[in-house]
Parts: sequence; C-alpha cells; structure tokens
Amino acid sequence: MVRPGIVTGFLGPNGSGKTTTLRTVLGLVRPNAGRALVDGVAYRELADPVRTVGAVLESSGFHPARSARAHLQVQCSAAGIDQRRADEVLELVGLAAEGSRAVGGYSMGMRQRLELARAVLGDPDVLVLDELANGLDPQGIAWLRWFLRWYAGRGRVVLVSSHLLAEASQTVDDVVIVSGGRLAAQGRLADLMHAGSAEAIAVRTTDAPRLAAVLRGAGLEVREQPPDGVVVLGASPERVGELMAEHRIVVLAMSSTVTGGAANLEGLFFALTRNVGGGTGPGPVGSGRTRRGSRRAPGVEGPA
Amino acid sequence: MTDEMHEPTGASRPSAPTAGMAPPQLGPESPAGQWQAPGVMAGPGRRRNRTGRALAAEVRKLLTVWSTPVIVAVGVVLTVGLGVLVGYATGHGNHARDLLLPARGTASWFDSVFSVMTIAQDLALIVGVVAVTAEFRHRTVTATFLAEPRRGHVVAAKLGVAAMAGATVAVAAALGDLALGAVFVATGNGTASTMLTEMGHVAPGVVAASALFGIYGVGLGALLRNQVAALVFGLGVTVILEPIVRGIVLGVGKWFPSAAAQSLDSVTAHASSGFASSTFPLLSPGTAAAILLGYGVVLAIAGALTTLQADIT
Repeated sequence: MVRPGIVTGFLGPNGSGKTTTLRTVLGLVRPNAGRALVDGVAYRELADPVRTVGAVLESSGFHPARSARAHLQVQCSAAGIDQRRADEVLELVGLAAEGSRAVGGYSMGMRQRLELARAVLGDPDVLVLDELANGLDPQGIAWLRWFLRWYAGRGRVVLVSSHLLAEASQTVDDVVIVSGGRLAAQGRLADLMHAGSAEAIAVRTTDAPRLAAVLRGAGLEVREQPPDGVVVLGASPERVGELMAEHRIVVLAMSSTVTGGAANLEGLFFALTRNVGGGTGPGPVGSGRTRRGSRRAPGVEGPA
Repeated sequence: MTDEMHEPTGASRPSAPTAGMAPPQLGPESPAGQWQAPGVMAGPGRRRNRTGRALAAEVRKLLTVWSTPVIVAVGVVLTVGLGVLVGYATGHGNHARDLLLPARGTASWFDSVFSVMTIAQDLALIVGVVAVTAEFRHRTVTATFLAEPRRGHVVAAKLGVAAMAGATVAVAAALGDLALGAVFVATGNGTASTMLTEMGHVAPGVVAASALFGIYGVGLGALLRNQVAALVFGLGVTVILEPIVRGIVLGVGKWFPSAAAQSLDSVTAHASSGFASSTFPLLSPGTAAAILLGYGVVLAIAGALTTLQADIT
C-alpha cells in the first residue's frame, strides 16, 4: 500500500522500470501484458484524470512561445478547471512574478516548478514525480522536499521515483524498490534498513580488489565500488573484520546497515536489487496493477 | 549546469524563484496555510463536458502562441499584396494583350484579383499540420494526453478547431480583398456591384476549402507526427507536385486534394473565366467538399489508430 499523508519513494537503479511503470499507470505507455489501474479503472477511463492523479514527468515539455500562465490555462481548459487556478498554482510554486514570460526563457529549475504547478492544477489525490531532483539546485531540492511534505500532509498520496537513494532517503518515509522490472521490496524505509536480510557492510580499503577476492574466497557476496570501495552482503561486521585482520588488509572506513548512513543505504539497495528478476518481489511491477481502494486511501500493489 | 538554473539573470528577473519562498520546513506558520483551500478552483467539475473541454483547450492553444495571428496576418498581407500586383498587371486598356487578360473593372478582372485569396488554403494546411505536430515537437503532448487520455478525442477536437482556424484565415484574407476591391472601385475600376458579386463568387469556396484544408492538415500531422515531414508533404506534394501530376493524368488527377480544393474555389469563378479558371477537369462543389473532408478525416482516423497510439516517452 502506498499510504496517504506521507511521501513514498519509488526506487530502483537506472533501467529498472520506474519510469515505464509510471507511464503505464498514466496511460502514456501500453503494457505488453497486464494492466494498470487507478481507482479500479484504467487511467483512460477516469472521469476526471487531472483531479485524480497529477504527474511530473521528464518527457513533458512546453511550447517555448507560450507563457507559463497560458500553458497552465490550456490545461485548465482541458480539465474543466477555472482559469484563475493557473495563477493560484503559479503562486504555489513561486512563479507568480514570472507567469507572463514565455517559457522558452525559463531555466531548468523554473520549468520543473512549472511542471509541478501543472501537476497540482486539479489538486489531485495522488501526486507522482519522476526523478524529482533532476535540474534542481540544492535550494530547489530543499524547497521541493518542503512542498512534497506539505502536499502529502493534506492527506494526499505522494509518490516520488528516484535512482538516487541518498537523495530520496531525506524526502521519503516509505519506499517501493524495483529491480529489473520487478518489485524487490516495499515498506517503511526505516524498517527495511534494519531488516537483517538486507544487511550490507561497506568498506573502503587500500586494496579493494584483494579484499573482494578474500571475501569471495570466504563464500560471501561482494560488490566492488571502484576505486576503493567494497560492499559485502549477508555477513556480520565481526566476520568481515576478522577476515580483513587475518589477511592484513588496511581498512580506511567501514560501516554497516545497523548504524545507518548513506553508504548503508547503498548496501541495502545492492542487497535488494542484486538478483535481477529473482528478488523477493511477487512479480513484475511494470505490468502489474495499480489500484486505489478508496479516494482517500490509494495504494500501489503488485499483481495478484 | 545547475548553476544557471536558479541564478537570477539580472534585471529581467528581479526575484529569483526561490528567493521569496518559505524556508523548507513545515509548521503552522508555513505559508502553505494560505493554500489550504484551493478547492474553490479545483473543486467540482465545470459545466463543460469533455468534448467541450478538449475544444476549449485546442482553441486556447492556438490563441496563446504568436504564430497564429502571424499566419492570419501573412494571409491578409499576401492576399492584398498579390491582389494589387494581379490588378495592375492586367487590363492596361487597348493593348493587344487585353485579348488574353481581362480588362480592368470587369467581372473577370475582379475574379482574377480575388482568386489570390486561395493562398489562405495553404496557410490553413500549415495551421492544421502544426496543431498536431507542435505537440510532439515541443513535447506538450504528454500534458495533453494526461488531461485527455482518450487520444481520439484530442484528434477530433483538433479537427474541429483547425477547420475553424482555416476558415478564419480565409475570412481574414477575404476581408483584406474586400478592402482592396473597395479601393479599386473608388479609383475608378469597375462598379461596387460587380466587385461584390465577384467577391461573393470567390470567397465562399475559398473559406470552405480552407476549413477543409485545416482538417486535411490535422490528418497529415496525426499520421506523420513529424512537423517537417508533414509540412513538406502537405505543401510540397499537395500544393506543388499534385498540380503537375494532375496535368498528366487528368482522369485520376481530379480526385487529388488540390483538385478538390480547386473545384471548391472555382464554384462559380470558372464560369466567368477568371484567374482561377482551370483547364483541369473539376468536381462538383458538393463532391469536392466531401472528397476533401474524406481525405482529412481518413488520415486523422488512420493517425489516431496508428502513430498516435504509440507510447509517449
């Protein structure tokens, strides 16, 4: 379930099917098999799509000669929303003073804000953002985090896709993790990070190749992170420490999922996505169903 | 790259987008409070049904880019400008060539002057093509299909609005020609009644053909999606190549789009052997309109069922 009131991360490495899944749900991409449902129906069948789901997608563009306000007013017309709403959402995203300018002169960050303004035009129950932070500077990212939490705080579902875990971890409460087009894990981020099965130990060393060889020799699963990083999966810190002492390998830094931190998040990510297609997930996400039980309690779930 | 994104670029942007924003934290004092109830605007649906919404959106798209009024203006300027040239290039009085060219002030002469307004058809074709292809070129199609995921409805709305836009271009051109005709009459070339009669002969067919060429353009755009390809095909083939081929295969040629358009243009014009008169075989006005409409609608349906069903990525 994707819960209302909080921000949910939709995570996975590049090419894992995040964007395709979102576009399938939004009716922009036709699934090869299966179907995607919103509120129990296909997106195409929604009576009022703009008021149901708002989406910020990378594929979306603007006519360079049209002003931001006019761009939004076109969408107001298309959705049967009062034209004044355009100015309202421009103010909401901090573009009120720029609304009359042609979008052709907008910076990347301003375009992202305008796209966000379009997504919330219908004050939708579900707000979906694909790769939210692309093109935003740190200040813009901080503002966006605030905005998403505010929006979710009004009882809405906010789903944010990202391949940048450390970035997303500062914004999201729950996560849905996909890998190779399949659901790999789902739940509260904090829970997942403390789950023993996902424990990973990240080590920085002066001789990463030798450490990797040693650990593999001990039957452990290893990911190398050049130039000097190694991530060990499914081993205790004690075991890894003993092996390194035994082989006199110099350790520069070491951390595990137990203690938290960005490095561990990467470890968790590796652990969850290591088996493409053979993970713990129940099935393909890209062709799965997305369904919301009621207007205020939407959720995304795997296929039956 | 990130640097340019939020840096205010001088006086043109006195307040950077982020400058006036609230600190990125939540709290009761957050400015978000004032937006707690945007429901007035985004609330229950407006009275328009979805077809009406799609039409309204398409009208607004045309009216919010500068290219639309420019195309109308180009139509008027070309029509009047070429009308002046045609008017003064013909009918010099008692010269021998008057045997070939109509004398000034005659019905045929007005016919020749006014027939230049058929340029509106080509402009209508451009409007129709761009109405579809600009969505893909500028990737606004994502937002369009998010708001109206039934793609066939979007195409239908574009057909209707392109027809209106095409007719508008032709009406503007006709009004320009009407003003030119008035000037000609005022300067001693023919009578007002002759001028108005010929205007009545030429304009209705051109307005109808322009509306149908708008539809034809949407059909081309929907099928080809690529703006350059659709424009090259629409203008190159329909306006340039077709008339040449028609001269070779007369029997088949009269069913071409350009021939159908010419049949409409020549509803009555050819009767007075004016500029628009043709050596090509022509269709009856009703058949011509049906053929032209058929081209546009069939292409649009084909596009809606094939290329427009492609994934939007």
